[in-house]
Amino acid sequence: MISSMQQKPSKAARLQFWALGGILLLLALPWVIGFLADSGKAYEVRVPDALQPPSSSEWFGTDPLGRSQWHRALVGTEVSLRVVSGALLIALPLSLVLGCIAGATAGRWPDQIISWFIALLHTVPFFLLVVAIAAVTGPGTMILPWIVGGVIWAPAARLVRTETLRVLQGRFVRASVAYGATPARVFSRGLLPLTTPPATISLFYLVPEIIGIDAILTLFGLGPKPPTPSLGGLVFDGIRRWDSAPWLAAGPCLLLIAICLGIHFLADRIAAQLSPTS
Amino acid sequence: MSSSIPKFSGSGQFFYRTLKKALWPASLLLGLCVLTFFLSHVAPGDPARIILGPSAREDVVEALRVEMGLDQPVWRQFARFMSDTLSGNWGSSWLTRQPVLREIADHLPPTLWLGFFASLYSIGLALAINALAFVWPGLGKILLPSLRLGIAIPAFVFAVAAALAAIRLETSTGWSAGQQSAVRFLLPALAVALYPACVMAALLRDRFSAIMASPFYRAARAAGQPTSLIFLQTLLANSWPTLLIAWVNQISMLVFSTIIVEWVFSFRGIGTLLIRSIQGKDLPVLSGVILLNGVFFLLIRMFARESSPSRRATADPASLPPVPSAN
Repeated sequence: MISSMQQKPSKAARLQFWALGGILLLLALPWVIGFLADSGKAYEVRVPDALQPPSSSEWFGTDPLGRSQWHRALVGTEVSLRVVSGALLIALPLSLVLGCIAGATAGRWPDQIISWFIALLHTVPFFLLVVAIAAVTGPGTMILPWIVGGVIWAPAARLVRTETLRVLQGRFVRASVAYGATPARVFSRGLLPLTTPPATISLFYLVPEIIGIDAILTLFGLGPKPPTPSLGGLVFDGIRRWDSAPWLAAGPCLLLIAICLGIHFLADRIAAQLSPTS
Repeated sequence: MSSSIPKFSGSGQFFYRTLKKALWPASLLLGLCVLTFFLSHVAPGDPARIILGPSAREDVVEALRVEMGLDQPVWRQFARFMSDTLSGNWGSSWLTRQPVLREIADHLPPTLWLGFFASLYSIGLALAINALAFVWPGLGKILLPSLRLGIAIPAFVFAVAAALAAIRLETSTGWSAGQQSAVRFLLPALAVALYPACVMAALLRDRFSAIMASPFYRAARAAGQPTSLIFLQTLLANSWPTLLIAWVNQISMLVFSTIIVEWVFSFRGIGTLLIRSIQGKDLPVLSGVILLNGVFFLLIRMFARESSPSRRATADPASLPPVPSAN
């Protein structure tokens, strides 16, 4: 039984390495950026140095109050990525468990209920749901990951559901069931290792969207309160001064693009491992 | 093996299927109503107090509270909310006292124009990029990797950058001459369309390469058909459902970018209305916008599903809502 079950996951071992590594990296990223950021420089007002263009000491220049835009962008990115990793940490188990349940009971009532909720979340753009809920609960870095995670799990769960349907038809699952494997064992040894990588990839591809949702909250007055920099605040305030000080918006945007490209590249690497030709 | 399930036949089956198809979106709409009711019900603060302002007398606030039914039990309030919503009375804005539906209708045209032009642009760009890459594979080697770059960048950065470029172009060419006509949305819509165009072009590209690996494509090539005919008859005719579904899935991104573009250009659109209603805690307008979005998205998805020739052929499980009990 063990051998029949492990033949398929042995390929999954490499996948899990990539998926778990990717998750750990994403969790560590806010800490790394927070380590780089000097919060003293991000908040210290030096009016004589206001609106300096980028230089070797101030990479992204300074804002109208003379604060270092580089350090403000770092702090803002850290806040934003904390929301991202928190949301992914909530959405991943949610999508795995609910997607597996829906896939295993396809067509029966648990699947119908879960699929109904997935479809309900898809009736309105994700950002609109998050904005509406945040408008009612009030903004806050503690509650935001829960709101975002509670919305963003839906597409990943739909993927896990389809993947579960496919995996459960596999010979190795039927063989292990014939040998007497319990549903819990099929879930933990067969389903979970094979559905985690695709779910992780689909969530990773959503990272730019989550950052966008986090940024647009500022436009609605639901972002962090003014002294705390946020990516959305830096960009949207920056473009008001685009003609006189383009570096204010350009700097944070460049940092954001670099981070998103990195995460996308990582997701691409995991996806490449998943493809049958690898 | 032997099917013991009674089969409907003829018009009976048609009726049964139509009912089943209609029940699913109807239940989703009901769920959306529950969600919006819940949102406006659990919101902190007393609606009557918000409407009348902090200086109103307590007995006046109390009278309004009774008039709005806020002293009733929750289920009775929900029944009232549902009957009001179904009869088209979506309440009135707490800020302007205007009926919600009129507020939305007033703000709808700029958003619709932006969405319309952006959809045209993104579909056109996706087709143009793939046509170029098909005719000149060398050009495709440069164009297609840059699509990946475009997908990885958050849409709001795209929208902001393109909007700034559009403003530059407008001021330098004096484009904004036709202030009142729909022409003024032509350039801003480009800012909305760029990100969806990248995603749609990449998805269309995947579909194209799947077709180009197929025997019937090689047969068409071997028969010596001209390139333009192959593109139209072999590639495009077999991939428009993919493009349609990609477009449907990008509409939420279009809505997202539209809000930012409306904010940058200060158009009086739905995005501006949404920003105003959230900053002013105007819950009836917020609920109205969410409900309308839900109706719109359900209609679009139904349209896409019904017009696709075969759901199996378009084989993207993540793109369409699952039918409750399959088959």
